[in-house]
Amino acid sequence: MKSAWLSIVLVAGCVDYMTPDPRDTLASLPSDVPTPADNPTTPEKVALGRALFWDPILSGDRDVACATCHHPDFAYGDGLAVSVGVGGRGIGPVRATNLDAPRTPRNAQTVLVTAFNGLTLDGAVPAEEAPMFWNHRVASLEQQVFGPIKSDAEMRGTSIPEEQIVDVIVARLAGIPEYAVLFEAAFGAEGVTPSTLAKAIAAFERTLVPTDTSFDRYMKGDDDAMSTSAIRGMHGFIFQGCARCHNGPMLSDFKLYELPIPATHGGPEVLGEATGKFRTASLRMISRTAPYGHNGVFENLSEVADFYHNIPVTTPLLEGDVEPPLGGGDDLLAFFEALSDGAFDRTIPDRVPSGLSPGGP
Amino acid sequence: MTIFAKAPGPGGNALSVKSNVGPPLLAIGCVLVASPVAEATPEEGSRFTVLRAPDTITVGLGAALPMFVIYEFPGPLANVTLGWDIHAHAQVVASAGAGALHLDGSRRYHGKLGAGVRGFPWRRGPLWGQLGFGLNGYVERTGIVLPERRVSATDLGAQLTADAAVGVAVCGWEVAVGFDFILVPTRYYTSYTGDESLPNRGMAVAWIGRQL
Ligand code: HEC
Ligand code: HEC
Repeated sequence: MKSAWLSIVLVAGCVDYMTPDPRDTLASLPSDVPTPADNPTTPEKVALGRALFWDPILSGDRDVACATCHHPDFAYGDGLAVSVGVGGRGIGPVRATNLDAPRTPRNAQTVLVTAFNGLTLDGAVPAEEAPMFWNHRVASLEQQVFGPIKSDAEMRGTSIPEEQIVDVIVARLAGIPEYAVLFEAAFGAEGVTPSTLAKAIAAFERTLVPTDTSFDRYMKGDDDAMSTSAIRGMHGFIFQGCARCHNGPMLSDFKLYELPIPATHGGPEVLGEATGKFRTASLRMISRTAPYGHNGVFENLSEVADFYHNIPVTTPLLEGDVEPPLGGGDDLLAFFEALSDGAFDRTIPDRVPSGLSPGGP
Repeated sequence: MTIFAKAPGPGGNALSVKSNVGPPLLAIGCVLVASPVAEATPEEGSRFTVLRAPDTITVGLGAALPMFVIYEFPGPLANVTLGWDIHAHAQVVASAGAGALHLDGSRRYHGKLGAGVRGFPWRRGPLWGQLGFGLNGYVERTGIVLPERRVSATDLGAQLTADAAVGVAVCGWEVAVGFDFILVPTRYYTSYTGDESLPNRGMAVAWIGRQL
């Protein structure tokens, strides 16, 4: 068998190696999560952060938790094109059945790997400056926490004004003895404040990093970690120019572009806003986080590949050689799978300190 | 019926489908290659008499333009076609061909055994059309140099194709164009669910041949 194999190698000649531009290369994820100097991760903060992340007490009407839209069953996204917070029930696509409930303008990103947001081929940015959201409008996981809490469509609802909501929630938490204990364990005398609330949730989110994917294991030297198909997919991905933007350990350059993303998908329903400049999406965990695009217009990865294939060649952003085949092919999908098969924390708590239903009704 | 260079990674559970397809595919291929011999057996002999020599032998050189996922450039192609007259307007043909494809970071060597029927609208006329089947095997090597490591993989695979070709033959020379349509794809293309059922639909070929 070995000699048959050898002769085949001889027939095939030596491997012809492509050497991509240094800006267009890919890399494994480092093991050290960037952490702000004033918020080192501790087990106490993570335990508190987990409780807060799952507790609908953080929403105006006590009906939506962070986990409602960032649920482990949907790889810490929600499986919806655009999210339904206030006015929805259940988890995942069923939330969309209440047509009167307000929609968020954009697709919910996964919270897996956001600990590394901003990490590019140039290295990591300080955790205090890590870009958040599709349009980078907020920096750091800590600051991000207040976005959904203040948003009327996501968590606040209409009963409490935006200026008051954070104080109302801090007061609610301070009034629950179990939270008082957890906050004291995590932050000592600082107690319950908007800042400690944000720090605890951010510390928990920094633990939501999947284990090494096939791609990471291969990059770190395990020759058997990636299938031939996935390697061919990686070659096609770089060869076709995708890595001009989707590069580095996050498969994102963390820059904003305006791609001609369609506004609607087939039917008459209008999804989120179609235009604007948005971040090169990280392709980590990509096979687990459908639908795709900032407005969720693509139902699956083949549709995304078709989008790139059919993009007008005159689109200045894509000048050069970005041309995936129609449908993307199995190789590309196998490569995407190799970027997505890391194991992650799927814990769904049985209860949260407020006594409300974890993740919302 | 890809033969693995190494254990399949994620998605490798297509293995079972693949090995079910393998043996019948090989059998069809063998029957096809053998069929012109059987049909051309002269009537006076038993099935086991010496094989009849082909009536025509044509060697060709040309180009293959495969519609694979990542190939856009044509590669060189060489083939030899044996023909046995079975009728004033028809020949049974058997062919063997080989070629190579090259892209930055990827090289594919492919070979084909084919069999089919070639029809001549005019008796001994210059025009011909051909339909057949082929068993195509390939070895492909892919490599990328990344800062962290060298990436490389070798892929062996086989496909069953149906082919159609048309040609003109004058004074011992022929010019032909054809298309090899993939009937049973190699395993990497069997689970595709996008807009097209098979992104790797086949390969366009063109050659200039010389009858020996
Ligand atoms: C109603 C659904 C919903 C709820 C509830 C929700 N989010 Fe989100 N989340 C989203 C959407 C939608 C986005 C993308 C918004 C955008 O970019 O404009 C997002 C983005 C994020 C991001 C940015 C990810 C990135 O890569 O930039 C983080 C982090 C995040 N949410 C954490 C949280 C936390 C923590 C909570 C609870 C305090 C929460 N979310 C509650 C829907 C929700
Ligand atoms: C010019 C930079 C650029 C290039 C080149 C590029 N992308 Fe993108 N990609 C983006 C941006 C920006 C987004 C987010 C688009 C949006 O929704 O507004 C994106 C989104 C995606 C998504 C959806 C991610 C998600 O979570 O929703 C996928 C999948 C994807 N790209 C794959 C590819 C592939 C495959 C190629 C090569 C054919 C490619 N990209 C080339 C910038 C680029």
